[in-house]
Amino acid sequence: MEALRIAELISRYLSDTDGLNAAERAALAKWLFASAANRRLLEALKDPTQQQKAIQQIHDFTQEATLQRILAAKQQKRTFRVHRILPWLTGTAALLLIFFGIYFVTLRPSRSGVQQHSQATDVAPGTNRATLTLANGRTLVLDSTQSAIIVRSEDITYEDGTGLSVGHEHKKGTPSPVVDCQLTTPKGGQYQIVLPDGTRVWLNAASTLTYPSRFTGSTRAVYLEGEAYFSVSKSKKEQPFIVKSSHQEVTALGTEFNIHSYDEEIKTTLTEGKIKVASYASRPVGASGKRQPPVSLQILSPGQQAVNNHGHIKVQHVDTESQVAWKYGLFDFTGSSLAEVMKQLEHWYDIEVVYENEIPPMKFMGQIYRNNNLSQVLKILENAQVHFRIDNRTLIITNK
Amino acid sequence: MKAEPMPDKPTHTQSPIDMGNREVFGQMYQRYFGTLCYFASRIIGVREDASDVVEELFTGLWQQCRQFNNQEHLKAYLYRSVHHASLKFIRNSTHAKERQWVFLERIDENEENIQQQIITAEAYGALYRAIYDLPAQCGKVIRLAYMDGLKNEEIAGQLRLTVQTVKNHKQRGLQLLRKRFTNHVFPLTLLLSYFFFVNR
Repeated sequence: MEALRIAELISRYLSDTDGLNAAERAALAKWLFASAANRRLLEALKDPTQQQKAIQQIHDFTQEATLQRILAAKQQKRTFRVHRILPWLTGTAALLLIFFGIYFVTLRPSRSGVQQHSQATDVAPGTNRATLTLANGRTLVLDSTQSAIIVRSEDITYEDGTGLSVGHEHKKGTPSPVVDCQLTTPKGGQYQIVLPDGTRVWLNAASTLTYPSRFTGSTRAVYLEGEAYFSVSKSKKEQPFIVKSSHQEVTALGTEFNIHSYDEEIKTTLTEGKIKVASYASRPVGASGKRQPPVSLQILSPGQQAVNNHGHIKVQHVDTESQVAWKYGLFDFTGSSLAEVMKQLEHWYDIEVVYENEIPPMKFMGQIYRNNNLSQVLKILENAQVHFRIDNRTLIITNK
Repeated sequence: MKAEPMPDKPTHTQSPIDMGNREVFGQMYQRYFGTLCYFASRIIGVREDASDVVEELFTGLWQQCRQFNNQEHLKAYLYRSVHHASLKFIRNSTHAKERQWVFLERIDENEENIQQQIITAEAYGALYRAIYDLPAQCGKVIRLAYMDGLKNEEIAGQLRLTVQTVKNHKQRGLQLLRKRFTNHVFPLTLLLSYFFFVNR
C-alpha cells in the first residue's frame, strides 16, 4: 500500500533526518512534489503539539482490559474446515448444512528446508522463476534468487540494483524506440516487475505480461494472460492505466486490483481505489490493438469483484483478502470449490490433475503457505475424505 | 497497568505472523490497536464506535487464527479492513444518516482523503511506538509523566526513585525524543530541489 510506504518514510524522516537512503529521499520528494496537499500534510505532521495530541489519543485507545476481553472471546477455531454439500438437502440447504468437523492445524513453512516425509513422490512448491522477452526476440532467464525487476527508460535492473545484460543497441542521447517486451512465468513460477511509470505488478504462475518499454501517448497500456496483482501509480498528467486481457479492458488511476484471467471467466477484484471494467466480444490485436465498442461496462468500488463471462459482467462483493492472498505467499481456499483449488495447485506445482470418479460438491475454507510441498497441502483432501495419489507430476483424485 | 509494546525492529519485518498465538497477538495489539482506533475515529467521528469497530476486527483475527506473511502484509490488511469496516459502520448506523449522506456524496474527494488519513495515523503510530523504544527507566518516567500525567513526586513514589533522579530521567528522555520529534529538519525546499536534480 503506497500510503503505508510513505508513512514509514515520513516517520523515519521525522525521527532522524539522516535515516533515509538516497532512493528513499527521492521517493519522499516525489510524493511531496505530487501535490500541495501532500506538502501541507508533512508540515502538519511535524507540529509537536499535534503529535502530542495524537499520541495521547493512541495511548488512551490502547487498553489492557480491551486486550483481555478479546483474548477471552469464545473459543479459537484453528480449522481447515470442509463443507460438504449433500445433494438431497439442497432444497433446504440454507437451514441444514452438515459440517464434517475435522480439524487441521495450519502448517507453518519449515524454514530450514528439511521436510521429513516418507513419500517417495512429492512435489516441490513454485519459486521465483520467469523469463523476459525483449523486442529483438532475445530471451533472458531471470535470476531465481531475485524476486523483482525494475524497468526504467534507460535500463532494466533487479530490485536490489544488480544489472541485467539487456544489450540495448541504441546510441545514448537519441530516444530509444518504444518496443513491446514480455515477462513470462512458467507453471510453478512467479515474479514482480516495476514498470517505467512506477506501477508494480506481481505476476502469478503460468502468466504473461506484455508491456511497452516506455509509456507514451494518452494511456499506459499493458496486456495480461494469466493472473497478476497491480499496484498502479498515480500519474501526474491524466494518463489512465489500462490492463487488456482476451475480452476485457480494465481502466485505473492510482489503485490496487487483482486480475485472474486464465480461462473463459475473468475475475477482477478491486482492493483500493476505483476501476472501470469493460468487456468485449473479441480479442484485440496485440497490446496496442483496437477493438469494437464494449459489450458492457462496470465501475467497481473496493471490495467488489467483476466476473466476466464472454461479455456479461456480474459484480459481487468478495473477501478481497482471499482473492489476493497468493501475492502474500498464501493459498486461501475460502469459498473455493474442489475444481478451483485444483486449478491453483496445477499452476503452482506444475502438475496435471485427473479425476477418477465424480466428487460431490464441496466448499473449502482456510489458508496454507504456498511454499509447502504438495503433500502438505493435500492433507486437506484427506480430511474431506477425498483420496489422492501422486504419480510423477500427475495428481489422481478419487472419491472413496 | 498497561503492557509494554514491542518497538519496531527492522529485522522482524519479514517473519510470518500468527494471530492465533497469544504472545504474538498481544504484541500486534499493542503495536497497532490504538493507531487503528485513531484512524477509524477520523472516519467515524465517535471514539467509542471507532474502538468497537477495531475491537471487532481484532477479535475476528484472534478467533480465526489468521496468518500473515510479514508486517507489510498485516499492516495493509489492517488498514484496509478498518477502512471498510468504518464505512460499513457509517452506512448501517441509524444515528449517522446525515453524516453518511455527506460522506458518501463526496466519495471521490474522500479517496484522496483516506490516503492522507492512513499516512497521518501510521506516521503518528510510528512515533507512538518510538516512545517505547526509550531505555528502561527513562522510558517509564517519560510515559508516566506525559501519558499518565503523574507529577514528579508521584513518579518517584511509584518507581522508588528520588525526585532528582526522576528529573534527570525526564531530561534525558526529552533530549532523546527531541532528537526524534523536532522540526529543525531538512528544509522542504532542499528536498524538492533534490528531486529535480535526480530527474534531470
